[in-house]
Amino acid sequence: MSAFRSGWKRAAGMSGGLLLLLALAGAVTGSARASGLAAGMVLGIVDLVGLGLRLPLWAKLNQRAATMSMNLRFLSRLALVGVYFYALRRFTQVNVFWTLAGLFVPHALYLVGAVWQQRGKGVNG
Amino acid sequence: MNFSLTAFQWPPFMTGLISMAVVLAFGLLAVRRVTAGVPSGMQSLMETMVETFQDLVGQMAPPALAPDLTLLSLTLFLLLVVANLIGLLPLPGIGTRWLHSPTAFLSIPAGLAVAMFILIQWAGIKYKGFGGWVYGWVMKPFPVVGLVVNALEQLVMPVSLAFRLFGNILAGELVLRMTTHAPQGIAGVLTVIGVGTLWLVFSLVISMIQALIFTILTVAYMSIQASSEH
Repeated sequence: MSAFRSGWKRAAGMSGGLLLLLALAGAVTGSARASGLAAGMVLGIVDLVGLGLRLPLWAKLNQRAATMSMNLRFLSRLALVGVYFYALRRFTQVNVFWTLAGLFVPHALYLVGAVWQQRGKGVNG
Repeated sequence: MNFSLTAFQWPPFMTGLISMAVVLAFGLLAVRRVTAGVPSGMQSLMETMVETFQDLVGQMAPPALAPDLTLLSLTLFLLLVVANLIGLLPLPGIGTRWLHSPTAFLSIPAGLAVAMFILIQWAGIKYKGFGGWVYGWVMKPFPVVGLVVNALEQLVMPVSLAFRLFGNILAGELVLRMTTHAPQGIAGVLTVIGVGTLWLVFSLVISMIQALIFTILTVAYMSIQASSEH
């Protein structure tokens, strides 16, 4: 669990830095792709931080409470993503396909970081 | 393509059938010339998977439910792995530009989730009796009010199962097609090689993880439903 805690924080930090760079690039160059990627990363970071904070709590709950919490969080996240994408399409010029890709960048960074941390170790760490 | 629930479409139906055929062929190949002695490669792979799922299900499900649930979960997992991975192949589809995963169309995950929801309720009725199942729905944790809480909990299950699988697989496919679509210039080719390859690896992992999550959640829901506390 401690590896997970440090992993998601590191991935969120790196994503935050990358997000700032992309937002700056989007603002300077007017690139709809860079802005779209940055817009997606905002939601991705929110999701990663939410998961990072909640997963240790869910691990302490019983099976039924944990699955119900996960499901309700998933539905609320689904509504949030729907509203977010609607607002982006309605009020901005960003490329929403790149927003979709940006959503997963923080998670991909976490995965790469986790694999990097495990290099040279066996399956039992 | 229309990825929603609105109409019957041939592409996901066909790729769904192909996925089922692949799983069936794998199962038949694994049990062909089955032996109690030194197993062949396919038999060994199937035995390893069955044992893995026996352990996995055994840790969650009540002992009476575990044998049935092991076979269901293994079959479901294999079907979903094939169905999720099929859309990552660089092949033209039937009536479509690319071969899409059947799970990238909402109708297929929704159909699977509804089937699992019925099985979950069946597990409750089988292991608690019809009266116990109704009592669990209406009276737990509080009389009558429990019905509202349980209805919310139970109805959220198939919705979250379906949308979690559909959203992840569709998003994976869309981003893969986007990052590998008609590269222009050196930067485009480098994007395809760098980002496209990275995303393909990520999608491979996501496809496996989503198949496992769908399966494990179904096992967890059935185990919860069959337990006497619920």
